[in-house]
Amino acid sequence: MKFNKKVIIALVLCVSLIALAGCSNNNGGNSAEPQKQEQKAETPDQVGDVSLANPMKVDKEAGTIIVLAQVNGKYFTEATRHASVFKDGSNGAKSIFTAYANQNDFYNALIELGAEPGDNMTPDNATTTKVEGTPISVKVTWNGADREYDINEVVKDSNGTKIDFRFGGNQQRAKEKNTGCLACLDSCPVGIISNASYTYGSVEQTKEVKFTGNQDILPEDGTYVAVIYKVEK
Amino acid sequence: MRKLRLIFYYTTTGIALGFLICMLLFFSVAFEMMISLGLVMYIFTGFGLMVAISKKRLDWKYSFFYIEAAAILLALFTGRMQQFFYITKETLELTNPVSQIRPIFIVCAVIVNLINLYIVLTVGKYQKEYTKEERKALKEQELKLKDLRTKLDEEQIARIKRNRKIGRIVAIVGIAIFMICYFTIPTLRHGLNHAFSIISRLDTTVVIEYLRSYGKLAVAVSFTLMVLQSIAAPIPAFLITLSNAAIFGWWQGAILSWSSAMAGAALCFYIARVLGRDVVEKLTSKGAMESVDVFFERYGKYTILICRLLPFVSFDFVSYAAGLTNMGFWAFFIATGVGQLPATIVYSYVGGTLTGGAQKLFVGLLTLFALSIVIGIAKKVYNDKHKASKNEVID
Repeated sequence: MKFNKKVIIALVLCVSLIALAGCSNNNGGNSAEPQKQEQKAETPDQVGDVSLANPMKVDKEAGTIIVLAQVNGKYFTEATRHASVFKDGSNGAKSIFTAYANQNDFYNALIELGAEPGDNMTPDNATTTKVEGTPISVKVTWNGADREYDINEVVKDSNGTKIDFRFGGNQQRAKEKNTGCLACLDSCPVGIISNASYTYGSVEQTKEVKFTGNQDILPEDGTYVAVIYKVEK
Repeated sequence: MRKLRLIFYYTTTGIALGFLICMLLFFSVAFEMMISLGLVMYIFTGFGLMVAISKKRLDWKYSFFYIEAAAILLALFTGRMQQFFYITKETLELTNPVSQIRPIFIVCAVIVNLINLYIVLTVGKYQKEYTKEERKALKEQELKLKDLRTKLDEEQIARIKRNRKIGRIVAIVGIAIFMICYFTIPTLRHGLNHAFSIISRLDTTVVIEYLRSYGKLAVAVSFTLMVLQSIAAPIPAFLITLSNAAIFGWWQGAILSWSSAMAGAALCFYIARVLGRDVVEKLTSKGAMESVDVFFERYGKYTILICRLLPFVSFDFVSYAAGLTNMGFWAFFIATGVGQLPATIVYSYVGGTLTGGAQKLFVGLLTLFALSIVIGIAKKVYNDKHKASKNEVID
């Protein structure tokens, strides 16, 4: 019996070592594909005009808000309902793009650009209502990327439905709940912008859709990216 | 040195358990979205540490390896091996890519395994190891839970039965009077229906306005609503707690919320005790259920304390369930009072439910505290079972 237990322990050790070492060959990102390295940044966190020192840039002329974020490789294989969440919010670790700008500044920036909040979502009607408000297009780029990628290229919808981001608003609830949500992947009564293609609960309750980061396009976990939000008028 | 070995072994076992729970969370998107993996890890690390502090010898000596194997096999078969690194990254709040975390993690995992293997293989140097037969003999000598039941004489049993009978009549008459009043006095019926519809809107501002409209009577209305919601309505009590704090000031509001919730809990306990205990007593008089009944008789107060500390356990359900057990009223009342104190004070002081990191910290601390009471109960049960044993106590 004692011998058996030692064998079990030895087996566990072997399996764990093999499995973990095997895992080390899987980078969890698209590092195998050669990417353009034309853009040389001074530091890894400097992506275009945003960096850790200046994580959000509002461009009134172009009608864009650029937010610095980091790729979260956890959601290359696991499903999530958050596209981008501020790192210090209660949902800070639950999104594909961990943002370095907070949801309140993001809301104010959208207002500054003339976007109109839908403010039609409440906790009571969330499961039956789709978010309204000014449409927002989202693109993502990073150092070494050959172009700006549309959100539909970097976030996979299991049904193949296009993501339709709207400026939901929800300023008060976003402040009160402090989830940090900038962009939710189903209509949300808290997130500043959210996806009008699905009602709230489509990911967690009814499970009619799964959203994951696109490992084939996105760079490896931890890479700094610039998420570009454009107000569509 | 022995304590240091215990601390290392049980703490790392707690960490392994944390990884296993996190792996299980990945099976549900809703749970994974709701719960911070870092918080789970901290809670179980703390749990492991407390187990180590409470123990004098290394029992369940292969627990670390079994839990680790379960976590690894689960991850392996579901293709989630890389999630070990993400859990670590989230727990330590690292911003480095997992490619940098991975080699350090593997080295640490190997070192921990080797140390724990060494601890298990050399356990005989630090404590007496029992053979299977010796363990069986010790087990036979220990008392069963049902042997620990407090012995009551005939007179005491008769008195309890008599009191319960009187209580049953009082409860039935009370409920009947309330129902008659409710259906025959329209103002009372409309008033109560209106009050519950207001609270059901789950909007603190509306509840505050409603209570304020009663002026000086607001205290009485708030108290009554809290008691009534305890008995019959599945409405979150924190709405009334927050409203009390906003209307009367945080500490006066906290006292009102705390005392009215206590009254509600006592009433639920009383109703369940006088109406349901006799039936439960018949069901638990023999077999395994008897041990469960004795467990609540002796350790019910600690169980109540745990339930009160955990914010996700229904307050009213616990009150009713406690009434059905054999535990004493005062033990229940004191445990409820102490257990609901932290949440009442924090909600009243903050003036809202906690959000973000503060919420995680608060829930984490309460859960950790509850887990430490679980360890305390396990230790007390063990000691009680061995107290009367004439032979050598294992510890």
